[in-house]
Amino acid sequence: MISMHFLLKRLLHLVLVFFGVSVVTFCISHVIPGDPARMLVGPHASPETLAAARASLGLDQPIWTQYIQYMTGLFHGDMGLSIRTQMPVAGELAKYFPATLELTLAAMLIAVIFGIVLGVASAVHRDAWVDHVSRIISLVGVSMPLFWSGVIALILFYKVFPIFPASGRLDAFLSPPPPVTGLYIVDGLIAGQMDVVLSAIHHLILPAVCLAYVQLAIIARQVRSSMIDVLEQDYIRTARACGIPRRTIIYRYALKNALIPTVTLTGLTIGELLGGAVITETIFAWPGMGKYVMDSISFLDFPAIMGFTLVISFGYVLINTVVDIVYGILNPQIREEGER
Amino acid sequence: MNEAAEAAVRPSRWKEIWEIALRNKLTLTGFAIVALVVLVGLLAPVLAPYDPNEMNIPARLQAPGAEHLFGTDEMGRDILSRVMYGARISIAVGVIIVAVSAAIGIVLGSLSGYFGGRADQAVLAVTDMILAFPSMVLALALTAAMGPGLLNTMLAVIIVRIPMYTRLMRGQVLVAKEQQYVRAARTFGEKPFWIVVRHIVPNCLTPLMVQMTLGIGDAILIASSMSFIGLGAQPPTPEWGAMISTARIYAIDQWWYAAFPGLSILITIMGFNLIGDGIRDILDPRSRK
Repeated sequence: MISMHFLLKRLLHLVLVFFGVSVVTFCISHVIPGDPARMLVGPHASPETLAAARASLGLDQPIWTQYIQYMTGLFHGDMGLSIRTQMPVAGELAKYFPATLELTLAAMLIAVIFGIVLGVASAVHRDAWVDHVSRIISLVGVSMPLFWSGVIALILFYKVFPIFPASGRLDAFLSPPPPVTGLYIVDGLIAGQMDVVLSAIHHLILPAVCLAYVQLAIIARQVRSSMIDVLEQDYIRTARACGIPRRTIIYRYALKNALIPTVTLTGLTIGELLGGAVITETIFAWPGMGKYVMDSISFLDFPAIMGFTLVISFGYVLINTVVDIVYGILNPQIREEGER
Repeated sequence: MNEAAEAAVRPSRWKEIWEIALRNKLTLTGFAIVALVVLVGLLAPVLAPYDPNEMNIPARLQAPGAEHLFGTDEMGRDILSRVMYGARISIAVGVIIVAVSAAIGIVLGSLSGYFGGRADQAVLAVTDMILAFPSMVLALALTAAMGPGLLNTMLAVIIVRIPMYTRLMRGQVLVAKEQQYVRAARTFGEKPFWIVVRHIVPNCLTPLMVQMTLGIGDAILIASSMSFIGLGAQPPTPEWGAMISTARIYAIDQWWYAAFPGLSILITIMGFNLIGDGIRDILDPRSRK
């Protein structure tokens, strides 16, 4: 069982990293730009407007006072007003969050499931055609720019073979299900609206697969190499010598140990997926946080960009802490190291 | 004697790596791809059939044909010429980002690893903070803060990538500083600075080379992604990511516009990945499976 000490240690680390992330975002938003107030009011504003903006942002205060104000704001869920929409950034991000969550979760499922299947098949049939095909898929995956695979997927599966829709989360004639989680598939199931569920899945597949592909390739490579390592261990050889069926050895004995390093990788995958969502959501006009920040970039809407950075990074750190704890549960060695 | 022996060993080690690499078909392919891209980039002014920025509105959005092998864009510019000039930009961007971030990482990592103490803790804390962000998101925020443009994008990616090299170098140094040859140098009373520069750094560079080769591909990828979202190279610069960004509007009906710049990115990054994987396999026979 996992100890309280290990858990507390991870949680303390989480608080420290949150603090670190807030310091970095504060520095990016308050220190790097020559003048954040100028960014807010634009290059043609009068000196009076500029001074007023500076005062309203608290920029006339000493830097540590500014940091305290910034943190106090954050604790109250205040990330400032979007320059583009003049709405509170926190509220806007909350509105777009479920769409991003749905896309990222779907992509993660695809990446993890197919990555593991591909990696295991590759390791078990080493140097056979399955292995070669799987390695080519992985190599292309780790080398392919996400923004290009999205565009190519649209050309192929929207234009040439019109199988999938090009944009949005639902068919235009359907209205979203009553919101519970904000995830259309889940909410549709809860409301029993199967037409909505099917349409949501139909819209989700192409962007999710594109977003997942790179990570799928990385996971497949990792699983392949750790599975090969495990298959050469003595206990596997012993199991084989004892005449235990190959299938049992692979799935019951080998896979479990081969997947341990993959757990950490999955945590890192989330970060890449959240970062990639900016690109995928833009290409597929997916109404999530990524598209929101992309629209903000063209206006240099700085509060919106920093709000997005903060939310995504907090989420990333949180998920990685959970992954660390899961890793501790799976791997007693690590847990004990943490307890020492 | 020590230095003489090292000088004798080191080149032969590289020679050995080079020889094994040449025997591996995939690694060789990687070298060939990268050499080709570098050559095309260098010789772009000679090889390109057109000026990359020359507009020719009557010939806009032409499909690939005898006159324009890769077709033309919405301004009638020759896509092949633009892709060739794009090779220059991408290779330069990748190499500069890796060279600068690795150089800073090597200095920070070896100092913090060798001397330890407060400085080490400070370096670790800062790298931890940076590594807590998804790299793409941090690069995006930094570029947005500094203002869009290729130079700022490169600076942002350098900042995002320094911790990786710092951590890697630090880990290497921690191991190396307990080795016999370093202890010997210490016993002979050599100054710590020279121990780091003369003995530790050269012996820690090999694993860094793998990371740096893979890093060039990664840097090209992330920088072109920034151009794609509008923060990196600005039109009409013939940068591959920026070209695809504009091509997005036309891609559904004019497939060639996005296809060729994207294919160039894919092939270039694949080249660096093949080389990086190859060198790693040579250095770590366990991963050769």
